[in-house]
Amino acid sequence: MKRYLIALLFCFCLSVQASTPDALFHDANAAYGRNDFKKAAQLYEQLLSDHKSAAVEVYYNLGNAYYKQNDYTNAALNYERALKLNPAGNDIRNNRDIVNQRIEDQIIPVPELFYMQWFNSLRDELSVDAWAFIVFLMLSLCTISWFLYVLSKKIKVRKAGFVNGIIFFILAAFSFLLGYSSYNNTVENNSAIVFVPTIQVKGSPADSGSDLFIIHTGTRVEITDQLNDWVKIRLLNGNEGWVRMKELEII
Amino acid sequence: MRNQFLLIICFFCLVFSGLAEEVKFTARISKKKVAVDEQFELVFTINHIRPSGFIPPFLGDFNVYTDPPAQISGDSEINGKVSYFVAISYVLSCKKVGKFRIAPAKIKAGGVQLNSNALEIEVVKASPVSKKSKDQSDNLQNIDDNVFVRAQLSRSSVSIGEQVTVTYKLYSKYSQLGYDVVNSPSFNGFYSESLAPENKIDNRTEIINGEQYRVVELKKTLLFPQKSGTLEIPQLEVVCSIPQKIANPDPFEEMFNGGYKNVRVTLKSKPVNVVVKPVTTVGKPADYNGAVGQFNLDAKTDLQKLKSGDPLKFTFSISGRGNLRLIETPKLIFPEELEVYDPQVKDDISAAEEGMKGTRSFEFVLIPRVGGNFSLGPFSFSYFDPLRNSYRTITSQKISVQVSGSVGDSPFVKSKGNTINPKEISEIKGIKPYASGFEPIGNTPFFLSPLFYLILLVFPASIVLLLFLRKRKNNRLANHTAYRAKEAGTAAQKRLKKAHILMAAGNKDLFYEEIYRALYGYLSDKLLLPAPSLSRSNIKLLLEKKNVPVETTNRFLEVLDACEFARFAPVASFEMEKTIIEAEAILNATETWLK
Repeated sequence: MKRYLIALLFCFCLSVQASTPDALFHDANAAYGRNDFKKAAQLYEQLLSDHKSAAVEVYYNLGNAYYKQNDYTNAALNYERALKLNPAGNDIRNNRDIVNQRIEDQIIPVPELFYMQWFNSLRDELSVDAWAFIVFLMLSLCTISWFLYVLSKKIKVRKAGFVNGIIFFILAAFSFLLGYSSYNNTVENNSAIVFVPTIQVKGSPADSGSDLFIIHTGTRVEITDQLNDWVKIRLLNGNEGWVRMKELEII
Repeated sequence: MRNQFLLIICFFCLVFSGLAEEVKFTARISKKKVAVDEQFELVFTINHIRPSGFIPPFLGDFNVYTDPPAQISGDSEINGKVSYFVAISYVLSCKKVGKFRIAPAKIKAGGVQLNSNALEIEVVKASPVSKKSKDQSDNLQNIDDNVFVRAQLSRSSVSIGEQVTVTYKLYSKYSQLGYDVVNSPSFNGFYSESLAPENKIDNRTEIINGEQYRVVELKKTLLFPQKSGTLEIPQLEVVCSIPQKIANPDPFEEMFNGGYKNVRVTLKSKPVNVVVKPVTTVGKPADYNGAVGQFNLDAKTDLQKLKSGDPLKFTFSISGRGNLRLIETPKLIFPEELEVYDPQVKDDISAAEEGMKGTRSFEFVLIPRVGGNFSLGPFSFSYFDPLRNSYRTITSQKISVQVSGSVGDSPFVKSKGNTINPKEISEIKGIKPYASGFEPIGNTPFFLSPLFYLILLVFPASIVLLLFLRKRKNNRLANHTAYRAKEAGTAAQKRLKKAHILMAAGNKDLFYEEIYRALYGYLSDKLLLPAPSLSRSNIKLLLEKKNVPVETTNRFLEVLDACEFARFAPVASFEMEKTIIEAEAILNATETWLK
């Protein structure tokens, strides 16, 4: 009887443990380690769907698992999702770029201006909320400086407070801009991956629209507009057109 | 006055002694004998002084091209002495045949008139050639001698595959010359590699047939002949624009271009031949692949021990001088158990005038399918050495590789035939063992959330609050002082009332203190000054400033004195009554002035 109880308890513990995200993650990694990529991908997906919670690493590992199964579309989707959570992830970027080489459409992005490149790389150094924190930090420093300016009787302190207040305010505004850009880049759901083998992109949101160009599975697009079940997309090279919403998977 | 006069005399003496010794005024012509219409130069030179009033000779027999004449001044050094000189030059030509005399020119220097020497010039009939060359439309005869393009070969005879450098040079006598290479020659029968031409800006000079030319390298190419025989180096075509003086310039043109016009000339280099000897077939190795030069061979792997299925990088590099870029992928035979992928060719080659040197490496990716010990090589490489005029074969050392594991271990065995490129597999980064922390999917970030905005508002709000509090404090402070001033009289009356009671009680000391305080307190409240800072003299000044009459002030001070006096001396009770009445009166009086 006692043995049964222990066994039962053990089973219970196991089941409880297996259902925690960490345990599922561990199991999935183990499957991946055995080169059982199908099982690994299934476990990662289960983790995402059961717990409705995610970590960067889950998407990243899931991307890897799909990649190993030569499912580049799903791999691209999950790498992009991972990048949304951690825009600075070098490994994610590396693997995403490799996947992009494997998909059919080789789209050359419109080159960004050099200062936009700097701005974006600075933005990707930190998460959205880290930028929010920096905004607060700069604003509090700004406020302190202004307090000094208002309250101090020493002219030197007042001067320093005034100048520093302005500098910190500018820094706060800049951090807010970075945060806002990061917010747009990572939180807004306006990017998608093509999930059907080929799409004929139309010039207007109707089947009768003129044929513009063809894109293939795995290609990343930006959604710029929506009309019923049609969405207007823009490719990284600047081409635009209309496709059906259901042919895409939002990142 | 006398002194000044003396000085002037001295100065003149000096000037004259100088003139007597050194002033020379000479005339000369560039040619003694000229053709009709041929230009020549007439130069008057005067040294040591600044001339004035130059009177040129009569030049009616000549065409004067320079009017006014060109004037140059500067310092010249003769026998170690630096002297100042002025040269006046004319460009002339003569219209008629015959002998002409150029009369002396006159000049004033220091009040003395100087004459130059007279000259004679002989003008002969123009020869047809010089006449033609004078013709403005046809200066090309001259140009051909003055500017030309040549192709120079570093060697005129080479073996197949041996390098030869061809340099196209532009020779010119003109200081200003614009040029533009029109065609880039195609070297048939050669492998060519262009080099950066040297000294493009820094003009060098070369002497050809006793004449000095400026030299510009137009193009420099390293050539490797691919076939034997006499090969022709193609011509290079250059368009030059040469500034030419216009004989009868349009005045407008002269104003803008200085009377020069650019003549465009197309120049071609003369074709040059190079003799290419075939490479001897004597002792030609079987694996000879066309390499000519001097080479070394190096073979290495990135790993000595690995697991089956892991990629192994094998690098076969050939370094040295010669036609490195023409070396093809060598046919290397690896053990059967290794999967071999097409090599990547990596070049570290620099081309210079003396030839190509550097390293060409072939990177093979090998994937062992089974475990075991494998040996790679020895591999050999053959080339032709033109210095020794013989073939040479070099051999790499043997490399042993230990592979652990056995068949079936490797996932890559299964993927054989797939299009997976091992290079990319090595690049994909592995999975992450630990998750950094789970967050609900679709979790909106803190940034731009209501709480974020709320906290954002705290900062300006705190500043506003600070300013508000400060303002209120200031207001209150201001109100307080105004209040004190307003209520000063009332406060004093209160104290006096108390004094009345004390007087009735017969408490003399406290009575006087109370009156004293009433008066002082009144002043301190009214004048917004702390009581201790009020002294007798102070009070007098302050009240004076407030336009209180001196009389009232004196009465005020008398009461204060009385109080002070009474505190230390015995006073009668009627005195107390008198003091309090006086105090009340003086307070009322002051109040009317200090309203």
